[in-house]
Amino acid sequence: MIKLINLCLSLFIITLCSSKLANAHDSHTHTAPWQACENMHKTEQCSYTNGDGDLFKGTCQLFNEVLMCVRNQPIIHVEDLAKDAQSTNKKTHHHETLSDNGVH
Amino acid sequence: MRKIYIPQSFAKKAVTLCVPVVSSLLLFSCGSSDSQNETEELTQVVVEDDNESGNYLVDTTRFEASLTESVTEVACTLSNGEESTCYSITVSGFPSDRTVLGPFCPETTSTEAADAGKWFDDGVLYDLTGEFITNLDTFYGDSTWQLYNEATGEVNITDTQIACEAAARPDVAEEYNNFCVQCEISYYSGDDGEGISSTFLIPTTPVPRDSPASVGRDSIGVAFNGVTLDAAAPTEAILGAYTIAAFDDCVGHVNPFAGYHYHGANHGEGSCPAVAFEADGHGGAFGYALDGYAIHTMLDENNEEESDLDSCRGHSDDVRGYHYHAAGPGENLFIGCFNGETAL
Repeated sequence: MIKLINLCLSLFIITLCSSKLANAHDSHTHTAPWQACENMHKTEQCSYTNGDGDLFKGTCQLFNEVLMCVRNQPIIHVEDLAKDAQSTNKKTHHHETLSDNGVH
Repeated sequence: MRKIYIPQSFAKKAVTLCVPVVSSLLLFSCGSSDSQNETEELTQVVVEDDNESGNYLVDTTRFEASLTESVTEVACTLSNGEESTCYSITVSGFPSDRTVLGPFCPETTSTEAADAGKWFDDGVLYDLTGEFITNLDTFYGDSTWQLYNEATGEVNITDTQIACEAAARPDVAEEYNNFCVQCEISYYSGDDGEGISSTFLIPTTPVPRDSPASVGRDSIGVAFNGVTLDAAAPTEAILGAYTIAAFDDCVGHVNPFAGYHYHGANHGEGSCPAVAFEADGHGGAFGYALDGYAIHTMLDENNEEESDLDSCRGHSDDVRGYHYHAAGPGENLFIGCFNGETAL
């Protein structure tokens, strides 16, 4: 059962990464920094994925009376996102393997 | 000569500027004004260094190569209502570290990156190659995009002043839909050289704000090479008319009001000169925001970003005091807000 959950989790992460990569080349809205702050308030934290699939994190700031997500953290590149996802997957897998073997 | 003040007064300035010139705002009009400058020159001003509080004096010698007249100290009122002193800095508007602008639009669908400019979208700065132009319909998922002649491969470029101005406004004439918009600086050169001269008022010593001030539609600062750092380009309006307002490698382009101006910082790529790193490897300064805090490059000598930036994209250190770091070249902005008072 745990292995099945692990498999599903892996597929989910792979799908998520693939989706981000695909979006990087299929969908150019030119509005991502603004959409990231829709229904938010000034200084609220925001994030969006740029056209290359990199993750931008920052806060909503007013530009000409419209909220726009202003990145203030270093860009998290798509390769690092993929590595993080793999790392998370490995940790989960390792933890569940130990659990399978009765190790806690 | 244009006078440029702080963003907070933009609404009034926009009307002052635009009504006499054209019946509607030009698409790229982001940072210019002809409003009255009510400051007066001072004969003697004593300015005390305020380094202990982290507010380093503005160094106007950095502008030396781009000035059209001497920097003067003038009385000014800051955005908090306090009377203060500001530097009045008049720059030529043409980058002092370059001899030519561009390239902007690719001439044909086979034009390579070296002969073309840039365009940005959702945080990425793209080479505006002929291939990019060809694929705009796929890129934006809209088959209306067709910026080139299928038979000849020639890109539709606004190659006259009339065409440039007709395409560079919100109500783009239908005949200029699907054009790559390019304005030559020679259309707007003054008698004394290339570019449109601008005067900026910058506090001699930055004064921190209690809470950050938002950026308006106006300029946010000026580069040491004399080029205006403009607010975000109105990409929605530009793309809505199926136009591309081509940038050069420095993420700059020309409009009738601001002349040549930047919408991003992209030093060191293609025809855009690099900015030297500081002695300690910190990203180099390339201009001042209107609040008097310096703006540095996004990356340091190790190609890394600062990890402790505030919401305005600024931080402090012992060497430089408080200063900003520009956002990435494709992010359509330099800083997120003003952490210092600006001149009214």
